[in-house]
Amino acid sequence: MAVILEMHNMCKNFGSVLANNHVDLKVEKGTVHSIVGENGAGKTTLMNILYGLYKANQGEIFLEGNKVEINDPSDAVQLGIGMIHQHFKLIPAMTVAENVMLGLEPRKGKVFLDIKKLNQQTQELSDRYGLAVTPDVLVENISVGIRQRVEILKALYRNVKLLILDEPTALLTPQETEDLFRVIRHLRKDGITIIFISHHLNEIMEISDKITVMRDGCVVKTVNKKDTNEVGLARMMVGRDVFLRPAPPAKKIGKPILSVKKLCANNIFHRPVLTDVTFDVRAGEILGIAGVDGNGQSELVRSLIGIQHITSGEITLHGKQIDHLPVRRMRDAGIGAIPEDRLKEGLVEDFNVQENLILGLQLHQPFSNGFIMNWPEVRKNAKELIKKFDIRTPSIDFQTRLLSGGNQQKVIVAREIFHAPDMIIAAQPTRGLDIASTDFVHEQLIEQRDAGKAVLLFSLFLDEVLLLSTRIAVIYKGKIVAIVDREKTTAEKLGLMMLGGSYKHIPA
Amino acid sequence: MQKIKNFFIKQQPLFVVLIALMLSLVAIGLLLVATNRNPFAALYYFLRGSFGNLYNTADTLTRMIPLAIAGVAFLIGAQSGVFNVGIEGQLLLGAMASAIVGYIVKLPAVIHLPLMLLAGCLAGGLYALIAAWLKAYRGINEILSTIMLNYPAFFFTHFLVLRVIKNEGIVPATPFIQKTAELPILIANTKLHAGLIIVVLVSIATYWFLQKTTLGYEMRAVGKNKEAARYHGIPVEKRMVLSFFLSGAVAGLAGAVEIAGMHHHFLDQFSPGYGYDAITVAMVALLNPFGVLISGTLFGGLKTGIMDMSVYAQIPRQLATLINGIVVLFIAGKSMIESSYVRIFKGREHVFETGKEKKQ
Repeated sequence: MAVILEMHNMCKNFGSVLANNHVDLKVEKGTVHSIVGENGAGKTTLMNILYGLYKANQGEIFLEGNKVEINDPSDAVQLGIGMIHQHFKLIPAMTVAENVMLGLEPRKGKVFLDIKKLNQQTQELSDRYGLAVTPDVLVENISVGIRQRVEILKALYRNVKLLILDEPTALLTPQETEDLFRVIRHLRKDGITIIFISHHLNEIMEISDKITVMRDGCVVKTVNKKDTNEVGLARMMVGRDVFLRPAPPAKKIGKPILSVKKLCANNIFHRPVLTDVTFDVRAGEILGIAGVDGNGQSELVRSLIGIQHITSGEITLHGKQIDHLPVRRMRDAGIGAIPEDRLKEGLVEDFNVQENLILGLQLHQPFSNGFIMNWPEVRKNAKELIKKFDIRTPSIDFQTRLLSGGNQQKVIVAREIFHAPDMIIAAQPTRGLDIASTDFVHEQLIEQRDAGKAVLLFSLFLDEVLLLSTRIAVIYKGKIVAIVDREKTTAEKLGLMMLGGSYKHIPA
Repeated sequence: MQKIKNFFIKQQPLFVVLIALMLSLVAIGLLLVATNRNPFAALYYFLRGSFGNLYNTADTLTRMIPLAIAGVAFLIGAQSGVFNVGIEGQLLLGAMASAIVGYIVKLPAVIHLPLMLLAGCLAGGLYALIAAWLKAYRGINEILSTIMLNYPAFFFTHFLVLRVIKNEGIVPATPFIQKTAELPILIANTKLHAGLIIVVLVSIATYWFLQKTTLGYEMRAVGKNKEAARYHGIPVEKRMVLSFFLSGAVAGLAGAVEIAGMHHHFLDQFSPGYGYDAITVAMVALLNPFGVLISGTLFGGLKTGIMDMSVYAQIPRQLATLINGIVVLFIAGKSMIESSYVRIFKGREHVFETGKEKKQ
């Protein structure tokens, strides 16, 4: 079969991080070619280079045998390359047809928009590929699944030959995913080549012809679908050597501190994102939540600190129900939380270090009497934590924005761990940290565990979950699919469950 | 060398404002040269008019009083993440409420004066609550709602002085307030009144509130990062409403002080747009409660200085008001100066960061 795209020896670095390290990719015409890999494996970077959003440090791109230069997305569109991003680039206040034709609209006498032709052409295109889109409704009134099809229509209208779909199923319901696959098959039949990026192995096994596995910026292997299975792919993706020390086993496990029973919640589109989530976290243990990004972890964290509205179920701390309380009371009840997004939720960047080190504790003794701040105590607290947690800052008045990411994270970890009474929720506590800082945060969490506190760890990195957890709960599409002891499982088994595979595929 | 550079990096906001002011001075100079006038003579008469003698200085300070109090009103909101452009309306209603209390109520000065000022605060604060509720609980952009709410306030007070509580005389105004409600004059033969003391007290109180109280801490946290504030249990909506109320109350106080110290009755259209100038005053002051005392004096001086300049340097008044506009324009456009400043002192790749800060 003819090769439509060949990327040869692509390299791209961001600072000291090598996002793409001598990557080769060959895609055959009229196929669905999947690229799989963990977060940060370099899939999206590679595609952004192909679409002209990033400039590669080196490497060559051949399209249908000819060497091409792609400097920006308009070059890519000229060459027949289309890309549909995770976050759609549509204008909500305009109609479907207007969005599809944007920039290339049919005109009447060069000035006026030919609305009739606009809608008619969109309808024709939609019918031809079985997209079932109504041209004259406003984009703001249509669902996520339909919006995605409008993006596909946009690409089709621009005569796309090679369509890149970057994690297209991340925001879709199972039904919408089915519909998307139907559309993809239709496109393939018409000779359009699809590059499909996903974490979900079952989806990849369903739709792909060929699969390229990436890890740490390199291509591990490109295989035909028929020559592999979910287990094989999972091993290639996550089966790397663990280089950090695993935590020593928990010493003394006590009674449950935090209990979650049959918790359900919806996302902003009123779709269920958490379904009957049930687990306990006991004193003296670390419960790790393993799962691929976007399977309900964020909503679970937010539910536990009272920001996310829950539709049913209950959360109890020390046997007392706390899910109906406002955030402040929930946290005062004894929950410390290291948020996922440190700049958005963990810190006030424009506060100085000492102000950030009491964020959320400003009403507590001794930092205030409830109305007047006690700045000498705040300073004392800052000095103590800076020393204990080795936060590298020029002074306690230094603006937190100007600290390095690792030190910002230490500010959050210090505050939450030091002042949390019994329950610590740590969401992606080491995201973006270097090895030394990661190790430090791990040590702190283990120390808290051994001090008899309960720790709930969320991490997208399976290695980290395996290192620290006493027990591991796997979350997939908003459900806890399994809770297992660390000793009784393996990375392969967990990886498979995280990716929606089931037990029956696991070799004994 | 690095030390000097670090100093410039650390004091970036201050220097950017100073550069903006200097550039506007240069622009005004060029404008005068282009119209065949001597810019140095103009500057001389400008400075003489605003600070040349005791009387002129007192006049400048008198004009500083409403500007600085209204500036504080704006910065309370801005520090808490609400952009209160409705100070003008709140100020007018505060002035009206205090004028009515000053006129109708008969009490000894010790009670009457505070009561009158309090009435101003309440009227301004309560009026601001409309926009506060719309923003916090209905998600309505406060810039639009506050600017629109200036009009009902203006026409309502206009209506009152024309039809309801009018004074005898040609100028539409309310009757004069009682002597017990007047702020005393500080320097004889000038108009400088005890509002000057109130300005300083308001600055101190605002600094204390924002920096030393838990509410102030929480309001600043909301202003700088709403998501983090919410995550850490701060009731974001309530704090927004509170900051709006306080901002409106101080705006109302600005109006009340103007009535009690300057006009002694509600004179129709007495405010030349203090509420709008307040935004510039607060911006130049870098949202610092003490900074408004300096920037308020600067803008007060601008108003008094321009008068002498137009008389003695033969500059038409129209050109003089243009000068005010130029200063505002340069302050508003300071982000352009900022990016050049960052390029010089931090390097090219940091220029993006200035844009990022703007977005938040």
